[in-house]
Formats: sequence, structure tokens, C-alpha cells
Amino acid sequence: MTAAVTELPRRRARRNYAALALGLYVLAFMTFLLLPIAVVVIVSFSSASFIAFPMPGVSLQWYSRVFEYAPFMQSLKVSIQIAVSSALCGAILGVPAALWAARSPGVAANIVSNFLLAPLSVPAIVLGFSLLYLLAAISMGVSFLSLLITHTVVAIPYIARTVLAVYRAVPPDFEEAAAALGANPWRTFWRVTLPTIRPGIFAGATFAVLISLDNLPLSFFFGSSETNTLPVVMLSYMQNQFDPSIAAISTIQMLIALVALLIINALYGIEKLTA
Amino acid sequence: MQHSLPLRLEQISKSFGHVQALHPLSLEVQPGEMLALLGPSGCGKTTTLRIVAGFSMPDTGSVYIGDNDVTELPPHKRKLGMVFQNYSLFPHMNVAENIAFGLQMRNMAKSEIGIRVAEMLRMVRLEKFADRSIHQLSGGQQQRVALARSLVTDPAILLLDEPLGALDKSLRESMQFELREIQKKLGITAIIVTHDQEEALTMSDRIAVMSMGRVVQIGAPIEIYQRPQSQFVSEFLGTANILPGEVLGHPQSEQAIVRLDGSRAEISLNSNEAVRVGSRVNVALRPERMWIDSSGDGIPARFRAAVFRGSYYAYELDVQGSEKPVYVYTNEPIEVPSDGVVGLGFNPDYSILLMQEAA
Amino acid sequence: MDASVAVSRRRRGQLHTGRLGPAWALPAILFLCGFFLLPLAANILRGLDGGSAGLTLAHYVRLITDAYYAGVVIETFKVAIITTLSCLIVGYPVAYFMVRYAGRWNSVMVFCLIAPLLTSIIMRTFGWTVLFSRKGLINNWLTSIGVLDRPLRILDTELMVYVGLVHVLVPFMVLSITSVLQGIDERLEESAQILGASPVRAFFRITLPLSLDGIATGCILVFVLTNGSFLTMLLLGGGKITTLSLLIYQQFTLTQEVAFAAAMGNILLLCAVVALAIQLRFVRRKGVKS
Repeated sequence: MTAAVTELPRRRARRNYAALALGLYVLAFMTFLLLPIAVVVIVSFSSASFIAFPMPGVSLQWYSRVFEYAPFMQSLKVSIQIAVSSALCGAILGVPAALWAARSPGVAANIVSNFLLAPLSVPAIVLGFSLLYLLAAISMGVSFLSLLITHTVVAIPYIARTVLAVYRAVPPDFEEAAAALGANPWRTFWRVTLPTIRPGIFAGATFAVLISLDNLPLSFFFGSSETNTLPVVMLSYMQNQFDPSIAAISTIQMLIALVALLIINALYGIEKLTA
Repeated sequence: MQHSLPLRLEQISKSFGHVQALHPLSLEVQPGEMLALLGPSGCGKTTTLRIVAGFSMPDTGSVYIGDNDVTELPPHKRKLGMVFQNYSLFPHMNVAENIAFGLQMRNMAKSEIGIRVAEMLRMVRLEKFADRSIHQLSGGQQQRVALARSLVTDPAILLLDEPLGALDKSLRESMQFELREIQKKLGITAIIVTHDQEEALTMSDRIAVMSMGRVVQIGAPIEIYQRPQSQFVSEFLGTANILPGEVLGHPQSEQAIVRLDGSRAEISLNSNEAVRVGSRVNVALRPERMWIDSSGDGIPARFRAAVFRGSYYAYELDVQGSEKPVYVYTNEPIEVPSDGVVGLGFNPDYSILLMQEAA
Repeated sequence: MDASVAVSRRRRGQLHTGRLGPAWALPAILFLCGFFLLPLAANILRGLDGGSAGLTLAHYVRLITDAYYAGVVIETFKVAIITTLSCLIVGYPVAYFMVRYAGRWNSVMVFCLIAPLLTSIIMRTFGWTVLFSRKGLINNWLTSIGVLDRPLRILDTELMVYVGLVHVLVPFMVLSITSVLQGIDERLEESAQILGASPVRAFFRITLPLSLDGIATGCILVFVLTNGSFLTMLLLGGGKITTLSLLIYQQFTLTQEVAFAAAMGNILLLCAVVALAIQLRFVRRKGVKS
């Protein structure tokens, strides 16, 4: 009654031209996204003494220049310190607040969760400007602490956002099951709640670190030789001298961020949280 | 209303990567007939339906609606009606807009659309619900809107993909009758995909039982139920007790003498296959066609448990020779002796002789 | 939701299940009040500061009536709107492809979208400079193969600023849209097709309306971010485009007109607040699963 598959004439699959065109468009788009970055990485290895194309040769001269140029290294150190410590402070402040606001039914909780996210909506330059004057008024002025406070204000919403999302997605049954099994509230929190939301905390913290590393508008107002962050130094360098050192230091910064991201993803699996 | 058209599938096959989801399959559905594709998950029934709908292109073979080969035609040109498993009602439109959609795609005049939509709402008894948002509807109501939406365009063929799966039991039963009534009244050719054997038995003119990409048996519900051609079909269409035995003799072509393992009785059974003496067979018996004898007459069995199922009693018994317990359904409770030993009997006319399938 | 469910919900919260009380939110609230609300409030006052004349609206008046400054305000909006629309047009197809066709390549694509965030915006802008400057890659290549006689001025133009902005912001748009598109069941498009809608019609009647929430979220996000950006204009625009953010930056480095700069900042703040309010009221659900 039925023939074997191999004996029957096969149909050609219906060509989906629309999907093909869309695919090509997306490919072009991805190239557009990655092209400037790729170009910078390539230029950082240039052996020319200025930016020239085609590149005469490959050399590590700009990397050694970067390591020698004190403001780059000093500001890189400051940037990393600020990024990590502001993320830490942001987590200490933001995680408990997000945890309360995520599940609490009242209007107050709703207001608080929006409040926690509010700094994201304010242009960084306005925030930096305002904070500079406030901190100056209480005679804190330009210092590492001021910079830390500023970056923490921006770190809190990034962490709160992911923690809110992750915690809201966890079914309340988890905690109730733990309670039914005899765990007191504190143990439930440490052994059940915290591990479940940990990817959310680290995803938000990673985001906060990345944003902080690149945050010029905020840091710009707090510039001094001890408190300059890398973006600030890079900008002034770029405006005064225009050579591939920028490419080298940018590549270094990108590699640090990439490695940090990969490590944290391997440890805490933040890949699944893409929103 | 246009005349319903027949549907013909010729040598349809489909593979996904290395998996052959459908082996070459040919099928015909008569105009006005409701055919059920019945089988467990992965048997290929949904793949077949999606090929008929046009969402999937078969690797070989053709689909004919009436006399037209529609295999190369995209879904929006095939003039079919389809009810999806979760209804797939458009969330941003209300009931009337959902139903009107198909007519709008045909660029029908607004006034005409209004009339047809009202007609449909009357048919599914949702006249007062035209302006409701679909989120305010219950499962059963959503299902009826989905049905109205699929039928308003007068399709030649209606496709139903497990349409009642999301409803609770009592609602499902009443909807089975209602759906069938509407289909019969409109005389529309229909295919329903389901894994629920009761649904297939209730709603269809013919059932095609599928397993692993093939149709293993096709026929009217009562034929499939009473004369399954394989153990798979008999087990899929209701509980079947399987008692192994050996063929002792073959007095006539339509009859075989079988001795059941675990019993010295020799039973004369209807045989619809040419069975050789000495071959191993399985006797398939429906629980509702067996009886229990408290005095022990019949196939020896030991009582294990009994439950009351509302409309009948289900008895679980151990029978020597059968690995799995044997079930018997009775209308009245049976007096079981203290040692639990009873006898089982059955009418040979309601038994099915099956060859023992290769392991 | 009837009363009995609401009651059981309230009782649930009172069970000792390790859920935190409001006291835990207090440190964050106090911190943000002190270092977020307070400075912004002070800034509002600063914008009204008339020095010895007390409170005045003079700065805002100047911003609106002075031809140059009014132009900057308008330019700020113009840039934000054009960038938002460009990101939408460029980004929607990418989002659609990612959700409907990408399959296993989806995570690779998400990584490609997020990867630019790993790099400094200065790096990205630098890359554009290298590509499009007079002696840059594109000009060199086009000249060498004979298409151009002289290098084109691509950098330091309005177009370049938009390219730079879209490059930085379009991932935000794409991710906002994908998160909503993912919730739209493919069966809805299939239903529409069976009912006679061609794939294009099904997209415009079903998918697009249902993805409106994602579009709105993306647009508001990009709008607010564009308002706050100035590095792109500074480094790629060559003075052709001046927006409020850029002006604040320049004012701070060049002049010391604090109150005036504060007033500019407040206008930006007002935009942000309005955008946030629209976001909260208009964008209710996160996409619909059927």
C-alpha cells in the first residue's frame, strides 16, 4: 500500500525568500555592530606612529606605551576599584530592598520598586552635576568617596532591576516548602531564597560594573589626579593626542570586561538572564 | 454554503533531520466525513495535520483538496478552517473582531461581515458576547469562538488540533457532542487530531490509528474497538486484558482452539488470521466483556483489589500466565471467597486473537 | 480575583517564610533620598537661582527665548526623535529574526548585541573615527580602488552622529522588542494565515499590534538615553550638532554659569520624568501568551 521513501520523487523545500533576505540584513547589521570594535583592536597592533591605513606592520609598541603612561594605569586602577566597590555597595543596599519590594503586595512596595529603578531614567550628566554640588556643599568635594557614592547611586537600579525580575519569577512555593520542612525564616532566606536569586544578583552587579567602567558623564565632574577614571583620561588624551594608544588601552579594558563576564557567567550562570 | 470537498493525501512523508516523522502515507477523507487521527504523542498525527494545513511541506507526495493539488500552495490560499489546541484567539481583538477576521481577509463588505458574524454567534450560542474581550471568556466559550472563527469563511475542510484538550472533563464531554452536531449539520469534511480514544470514538465517522509515523489501522469506531488488528490498537482503544496462549488446533478457517497459559481449558475462538498449530498467541479481552464466578468456574484467578468507579466496579485480579493484572468491570459487586480464588469467564465472540508481537 | 483569594494572599505574607520586612529596604531608600532626590531637588532650586535677586525664572526664559539656546533645545529633541525612529526601523527586523528564525543562533546573537557594552563608548567612537576620517579606512580604500579622487568628509557630519548614536543604542531597542515578541505565540500568526492572511498581512494585523508594548518600552528607553548622551556628538559631530547634554558639558568646562547649566539640566530631567511617567502608565503588560 505504501512505497518506501527512497522510491518516491522528492519535493524541493519551499524557498523562503523573505527569511533569506532578513537573514542577510541581520548579518549586515551584526557586521555594523562589531566593525568599529574590530577596527580598534586591529589598529592597536599597528607599528605606525600614527593612525594610518593600510597598517605598515604589527607591533606591541602601543601596549607598552600604555603601560608606561601613568595616567592610564592609575585611572584604570581607580576605575576598577570604583566599579567593583560601587557594585558591592549597590548590592548591599539594593538586594534587600528589591527582595522586600518584589513580593510585598502594598502600594508602598510598588512605589519603592519604581524608586529603586528611577536613577536609570535620569541623564547621567545631570546626576553628576547635581551630586557634585551637593557633595561640595557638605564639604566632601572631589574624592574617592564622592565618586563611590555617585557610582553606587547608578549601581543600585541595575542590581535592583535584575533581582526584582528574578525574585518575582520564583514561585512562592519554594519558601513555603522550606518552612513546611521546618526551616526558620533566616535559614530559608540563606539556604533557599538567596541561592535561587544569586544569578540575578550577579547579572545585575556585572551590568553595574560594566556601566561604571564606561561611565564618563558621572565621573567627569569628579576629576582630579587621584580620582580620574579611565574614560575621563581617555577622553582628554583623545582630544589632545590622537594615536593608537587609545586603541591599546581600549582593547585592554575590553579584555578585562570580557574575562570578568565569562568568569562570572561560568560561576553563576547569568547567561539565561538576557533582558 | 459550498459543498464540502474530499481530501486526499498521497504518499505523504516527512522527516526532521534524522527522524522519520511520517512514513509514506496515503489517506482519503470523504466529503462531509469526520476522520480522527488517533495516537500517542510522536506518532505523526500533528505532523500530518500541519501538512494538510500547509505549515509544513512534505518531503514526498501530494495533498489534494477536491481535485486540486494544493501541496505547493501556502496556508493562506488553501481556504481551510482550523481550530488550534489553545484556541489561538487574537488577544487584542474582541469576540466579534476575532470572528470577522477571516471575512476581512476576503475583503468582504462591512455590512455583510456583520450579518455573517451574527449568524455564527447564534450558531455557537454566544450572541450576547460579541463585544467581550476574549480574556473575559471561559475555556468553553473561547473554544466556541475559535470554532465560529474557523467556520465563518465557509471552508472546504475543517482541521481540529486537539481542540478539547484544555477543557475539564464534563465540559469536554458536552463539547464533543456539540462539535460533532455542528460538523454534521454543516456537512463539512473534517479531520480531528486527538490522543483521547473516547473523543475519537464519540466524534468521528472513521478513526485512523497512528503509531510511529504510520497508520496501523483505519476504520469505523466500532470496528476498531471490537476488532483491533494489533495489540497496540487494542490497548490504545481502551483497557485490554492480554492473556497469552498456544494454538492447539484449527478446525475451521475462522476458528482456532487455544489453550491459555495457566489454565487447562481449551477455548474455541474466532480467528481472523491464518494461525498455525503451535504458534503463540495473545487473546485480547475487554474488561466489560468478562465476568467473575465466585465458585471458581472458569479461568483460575486470584482477587487483588476492587474499586467503585461510580457507574461500575473495577476488579483487579492475578491470572497465571499474565504478567500484568487482569481487570474485570461489573455492574454489581461480587462476593469474593476468603481465599480470593475465583473463576473468570468471557464470551469468545468478544475476544480477539492476536499474534504475539516480536519483542 | 475574589475576596477569598485576596485574603489567603494576605495571610501568606504573614507566614514566617523568610520573606523580608520593609525595614530591609530602608537603607537603600535613605541612601537614594539623600544622594539622588536631594541633589536633584537642589538642582531644581539652583536653576531658579537669581543670585542676589532671589528666585527667578530668568534662566529658563533665556533658554526658550534666546535663539541659540532655543535652537539647542529643539535640536536635542530632534536628535532624540530621529535616533529613536532609526533604532526602531533598524532594530525591529533584527528582533523579529532573532525570535522567529534564529533558533540555536539566538544566544550568539544576544552576545553580539551585548558585546558592545563591554567596550567603552570612547572605543566605539574611536573606531568610527578610524573608519571614516579623512585618512581613515574607508576613504583610503575608496581612493585606492579609484572610486574617489579626494577623500570624502564623512566624519564631523550630522549623519555620522546619528550612525554613532544608533550603533550604541539599537541593542537596547532590539532587546526590548525581543522580550515582548517571545511572548507572542507563533500559532497566532498561523491562525491568521489559515484565515486567509498572507504572511505580510498577518504580521501587520497580528504581530505588530501585539508587540506595541515592546516598541514603546524600547522607544522610551532610547529616547531617554539619547537625551543624556553627548560624547557621540562631541567626538563625531565636529560641532555640527549641539544638544543640551553637550552644552552642559561645555558650560561646565568653559564657563562657570552654574545656575544656567542647572536650568539646562532640569529641562533634561523634565523630559526624563515625563518619559518615565508615560512608561509606567502606558506600558502595562509584558506581552501576551495565548
